[in-house]
Amino acid sequence: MDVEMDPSVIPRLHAPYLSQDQKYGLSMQRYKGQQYSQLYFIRIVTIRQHLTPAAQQRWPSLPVCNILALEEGKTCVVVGTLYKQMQLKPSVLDEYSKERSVVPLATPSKFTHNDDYLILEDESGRVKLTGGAILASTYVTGVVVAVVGQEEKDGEFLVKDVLVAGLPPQKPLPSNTDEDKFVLFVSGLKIGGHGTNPLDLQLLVDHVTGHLGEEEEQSLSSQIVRVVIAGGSLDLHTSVSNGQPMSAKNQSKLVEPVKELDLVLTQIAAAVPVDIMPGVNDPANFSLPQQPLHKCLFPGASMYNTFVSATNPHQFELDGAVFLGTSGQNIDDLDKYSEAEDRLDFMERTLMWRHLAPTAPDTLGCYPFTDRDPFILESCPHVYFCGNQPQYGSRLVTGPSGQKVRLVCIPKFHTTSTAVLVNLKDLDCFVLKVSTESLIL
Amino acid sequence: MGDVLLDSGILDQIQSLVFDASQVVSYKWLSRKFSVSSNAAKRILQEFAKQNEGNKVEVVYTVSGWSKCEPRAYSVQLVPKAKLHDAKHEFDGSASHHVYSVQPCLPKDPAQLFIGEYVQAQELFLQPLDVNNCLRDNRFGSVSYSHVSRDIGGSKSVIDKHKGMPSSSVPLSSKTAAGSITPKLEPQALQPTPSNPVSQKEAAVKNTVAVAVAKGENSSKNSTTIGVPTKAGTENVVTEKKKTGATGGGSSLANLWGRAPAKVKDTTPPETTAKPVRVSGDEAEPSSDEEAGIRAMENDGSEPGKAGNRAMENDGSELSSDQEASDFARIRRCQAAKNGKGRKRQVVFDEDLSDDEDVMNSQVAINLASPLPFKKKPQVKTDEPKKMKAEVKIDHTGPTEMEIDEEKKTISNLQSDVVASILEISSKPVESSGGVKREAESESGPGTSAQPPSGPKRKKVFKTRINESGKEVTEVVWETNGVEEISEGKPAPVADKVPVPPAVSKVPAERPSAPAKAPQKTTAKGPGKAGGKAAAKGPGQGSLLSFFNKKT
Repeated sequence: MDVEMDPSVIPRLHAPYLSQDQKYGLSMQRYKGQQYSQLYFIRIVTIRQHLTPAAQQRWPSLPVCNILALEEGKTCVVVGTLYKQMQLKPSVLDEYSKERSVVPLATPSKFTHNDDYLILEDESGRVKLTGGAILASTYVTGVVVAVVGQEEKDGEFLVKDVLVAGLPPQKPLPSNTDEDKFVLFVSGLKIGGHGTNPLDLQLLVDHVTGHLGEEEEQSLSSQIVRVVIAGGSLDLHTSVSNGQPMSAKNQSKLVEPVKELDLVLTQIAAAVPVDIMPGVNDPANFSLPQQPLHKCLFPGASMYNTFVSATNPHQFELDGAVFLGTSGQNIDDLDKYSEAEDRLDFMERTLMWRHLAPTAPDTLGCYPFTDRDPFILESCPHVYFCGNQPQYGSRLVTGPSGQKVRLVCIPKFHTTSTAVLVNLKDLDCFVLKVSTESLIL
Repeated sequence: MGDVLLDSGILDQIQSLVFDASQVVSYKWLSRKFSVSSNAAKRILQEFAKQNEGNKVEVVYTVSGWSKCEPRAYSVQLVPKAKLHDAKHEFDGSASHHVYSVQPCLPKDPAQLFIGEYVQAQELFLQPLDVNNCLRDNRFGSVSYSHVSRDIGGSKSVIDKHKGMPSSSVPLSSKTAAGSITPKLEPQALQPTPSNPVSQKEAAVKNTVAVAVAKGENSSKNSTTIGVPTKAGTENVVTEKKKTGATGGGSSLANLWGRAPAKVKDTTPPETTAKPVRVSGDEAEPSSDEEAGIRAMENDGSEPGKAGNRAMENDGSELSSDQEASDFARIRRCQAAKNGKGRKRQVVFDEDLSDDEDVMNSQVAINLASPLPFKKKPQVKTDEPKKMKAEVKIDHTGPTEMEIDEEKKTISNLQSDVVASILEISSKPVESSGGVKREAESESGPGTSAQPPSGPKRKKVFKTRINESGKEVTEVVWETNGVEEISEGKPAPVADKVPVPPAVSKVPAERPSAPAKAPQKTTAKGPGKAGGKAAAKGPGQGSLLSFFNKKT
């Protein structure tokens, strides 16, 4: 027992950080009543630049024409934006027809149906797509694709093949590091929520800050170079605010979780850099891109240089590796309006479509940009993460030109008590699971 | 080191905490408490667990390692001692474990393990922002990060853990070696951790209080606070509060805010309503509501009282009284002498209103926006000294209470300062007093009724209606915090009423009686208030009913 009292303190590794959130910022935007048309226009124009050459390369003999120029029986390539006609898609008008409607109005969480079909639009017109080569269930409104086929007698377009934009170019992952450095992702802390276990969170914090465990665990902790909280941090009792002046009791009820989160963030920020992104129910704007949570919410944590309040699609570079991710809204929305085996498929599709959130602004709230579509992927990240997913998932996607992307579904912490660590060196990843279940008698 | 530490009292203290106080002692709590590193704290607990193997103590371990199951996962588990062996089987190869906490029994809810630590963390967290404590620099953790710096409003303080560690640990061991068992071993090393083991629980209950205390404290004070933590009774708190009030950052500003409601108050005729509030407060919620009453009284009493007095002496030369109104110190002085009259004056005010209805109306309408302009009103009212005198007689019903209130006044003043200083932003004076109430309340447990905590909660509410003569009248109503809300008071619409001239004018005969009744205490309050309200508001607003509903 006669050891020195302070075992050697392990220095934490460091990785240079570069935020690339500028393109998601709204500070330069002034809303002047514009609609979403520009957003769709920019989208098709931008992605067509990539699609047209690719289509010509793949089908050199076929002409690329617009929808208005289609001729019956003539095979050609058309580039356009998909619109998915869905009978279950909720409409605001339903609210008004409710009383008179004969069919009972179901409110499903998923809106896909076998009778859904796709319509292709470009600046000149629109045409209904048929054929088994393009499945309505995999696509959603807002995706820009190139299709090959010919117009039928009834004016529909029979699709023979589909081409999507594919993985954007990626800058190579620097391989100069031989140290293991990890980024820890966590989401859905849901502080203040019913049934969340604060002890689990505290264990996580203790692990990250290097309190917990013996030397092995602490050296593991020292390799964590950044913590990213991908949304869903708070569960505010917003029901207490009804537009009336609020009583002090309700005020504190509302504020208490924020203070608790500040305490957690302070502990983390004192030990390791931390990024916090807003999520669905966090006190930020609703529509994407969500702006950073205001610093006045976190008087304690915001004093640290290690504390970063980030936008919701959040992009940053760490040691040369590019990270991009959301708090999950885009993937959740895809899940409602299309079908896939698991969430990683949705994530992979968004990469292939070169668009983070194709359903915005159709079914996903989005700012009406006029000068750009910030969700278009110009370059491929090395790590693409998505918060607040039902369970952990991870996949390494390899592109035709050598791109390597690690897809990570970050599970909700409040249900799974799980965080995800991604190694900067080789994009390997594993989970960190805390558990207090054994204590329950 | 271990032995030194162990022999020197920490173990004894843990023992008493666990067995006598039935407290959960976790390694992190211990490390913060005694300013040792986390790893050292683990070892101390390990030693403690070994020593008390036969005793009735439950040990919770942390087991961590790579788990066998897919996907690849590093698992951190808390397990009770009984399951330690089984738990380690789930791990791949070498799992490491250490003591997480010791406690007399396993809590049903695992989160219980966390409460003591959480309270402690909060105390540290709520210390003034310029204080650097072990929560803020993570100095007891075993992983250091040199790139962290903390920006305290301009001046950057780079957190150096390496410096922190030795300074905290070395003095500790020397001290403990000397046999000191006091928990505050090294004030500057162990940055303010106000509560001592015994009062820890207390702190858990009223942690907000501790917070309030801790906030104003700087480290020098801290030592005194720590010195007397067990008798965290009223006086103790009071003194602390005083201190905070005196030393708190913007105390002058605080004064302003703390005082502002008083100014507003004086123009109102709270006589009718404020009194009942206090009375009811006496019954239901001694400390805080009494305070509310006191405040109201004090405020009412101070200015109008003086003004009235002055009116009698100077035949209504109001300018001077107005100036004085802004001078708090003088108000206070005069208050003692004249508060009785002050109360009556509000009645006069109402009477006056009946005379100068139009004037008043216009003034009310104009001045609603901010409390300050109300100062002018006394001018209007005190034009008629005679009436005042008359009123004085009528109102002499409840003098004793008033005196009591006077005595309490100073305390409440102090507290209002504290209040204001605590709430840094407190854009509205009203809210500032309200916001703090909770903290103050929780401290004023049993036997503290003599010592009123901070001010009542008030809300300024504007109500507009059309009076009999077809004029639009906007009234400002101060909704005083509810009687029935004990823990966190919601403002019940018991209101100190602000000038509502026309309605009053309608029923001049009733006026004196209604307010006069109010001071007569307890049961009279209902009718008294009701009368006041009804008269003021007129029928058809439904507020009368709602008021009764709240009351019961």
